[in-house]
Amino acid sequence: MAEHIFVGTSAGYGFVVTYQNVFKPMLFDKLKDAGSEPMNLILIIPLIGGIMLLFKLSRKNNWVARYPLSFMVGVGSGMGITNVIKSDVISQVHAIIFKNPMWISGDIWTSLFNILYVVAVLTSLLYFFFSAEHKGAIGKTARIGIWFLMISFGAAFGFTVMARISLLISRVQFLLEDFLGISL
Amino acid sequence: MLEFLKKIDRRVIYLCIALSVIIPMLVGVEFPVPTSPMTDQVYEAFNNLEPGSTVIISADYDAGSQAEIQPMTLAILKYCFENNIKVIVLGLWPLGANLVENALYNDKVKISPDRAKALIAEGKKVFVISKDTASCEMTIEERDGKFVYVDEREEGKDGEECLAFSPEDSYYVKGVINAIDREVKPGIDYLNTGYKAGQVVVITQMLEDVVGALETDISGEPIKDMEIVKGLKTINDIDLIFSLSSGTPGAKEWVVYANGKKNVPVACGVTAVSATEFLPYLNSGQLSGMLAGLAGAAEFETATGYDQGKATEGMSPQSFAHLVIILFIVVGNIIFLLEKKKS
Repeated sequence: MAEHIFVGTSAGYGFVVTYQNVFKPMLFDKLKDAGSEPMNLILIIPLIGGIMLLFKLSRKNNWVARYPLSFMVGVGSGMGITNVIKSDVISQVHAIIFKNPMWISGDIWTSLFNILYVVAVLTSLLYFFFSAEHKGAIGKTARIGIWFLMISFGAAFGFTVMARISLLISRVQFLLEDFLGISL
Repeated sequence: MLEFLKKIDRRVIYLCIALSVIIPMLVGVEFPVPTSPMTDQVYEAFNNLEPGSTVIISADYDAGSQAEIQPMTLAILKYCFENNIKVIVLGLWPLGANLVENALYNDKVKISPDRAKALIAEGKKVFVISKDTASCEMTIEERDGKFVYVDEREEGKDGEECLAFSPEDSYYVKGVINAIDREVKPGIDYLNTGYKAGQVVVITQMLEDVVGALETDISGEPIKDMEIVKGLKTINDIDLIFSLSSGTPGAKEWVVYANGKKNVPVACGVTAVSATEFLPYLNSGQLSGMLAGLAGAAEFETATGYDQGKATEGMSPQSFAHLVIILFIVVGNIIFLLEKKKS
């Protein structure tokens, strides 16, 4: 029952927020003739697109929803692909080659860490290279990659534990201080 | 013994974790919170800003991640206002901007007893929870040169003199705006533009026209004539973007679009779960710093000297809970190895 109430409340809240912040100011208000600002008739196009999306609910006519959906996917891809490639691939490779020189004279620890970093990247990538059988040198290097992957999963798990404990701490702080009025 | 440990009820483990969180809070154990390099980078990013600089705080979180992100919001707002940095808030998540508004006007901001005295003298409303006030929230006022309790329930302590401002009691004000010395003026020092629908589209619009993309403040008033946005055209007029992020859209989108396309410095405060996802951006310099979870917030409080912060308060239970978890992992592994040896 608590789950149903939570889902219902969230959906209701989401609808009201979306109506007040999106539909009303960005669509309905602009389709009205407000005197100083004329009607923005071009907004009828996204309105029709939005209505077409609702056809996803119909078994018979759900093909109608594919048109606005494909438009959205196309725009999203067009906007995203070049930027994501730049930030997630080019900038990363650039940083590993040029920005952080592997050997820094006088700073042996950072230098060793940088070398380890490059080894970790290469061996981990090799683990996902399936065009050659993981035997011999490739197999051994891929096994080193598994170790690095395990360490990174461990770090992610550690952060997850911290996040969950933080939620508990917040609730306990609320119960002790706000609810019971105990000075902490 | 081995059999007992093997069959230990999971509810015993839950109880141990609960006690490891509750007891340190009640006893008031304190641990030092040293700062990590990624938190130092965030502090440096803010510290390098000149007074009068403009920062965008993108509130990309909601109630589910409030426990980790809200302490960051409080500490960052306080730092910005104390150092005369202008703050423009927007929310790429529906609830985010409202949570920042809460931090500004409603959330508890703990203060030291000396600070409490000073703020009461300034006429600000200071609340107190202490053994003296029988476990209820009261305000303190200065009447005829004396500090007295104001019991709004009209019973008990009303009018009684508050003699000892003890560090064991909790003093706080409501909202960051009441915890700082200077007056923060909406539209001049601070602007909350509320939830902006459109996700990435909002960011891409802001790259060329910040005011046009944000359009109105949280109450629906147009922002184009407000003083805080004077001279603000493109995203390059912003000195730092700080994304309080717990998912998509959030810090990643700011890195990809604002930093990737326009080279604007971006820093972030993220939930601990997503922290590892952002480490590559930090190492490559695409992020100017990162606060990771409640620990990151506590470290930022240490860096800025806000030792009364909510995050710092949560660090000792956090450490004890981690110790208990480590203990259980070690015990579990010992049992596993002994079992293996036996078989």
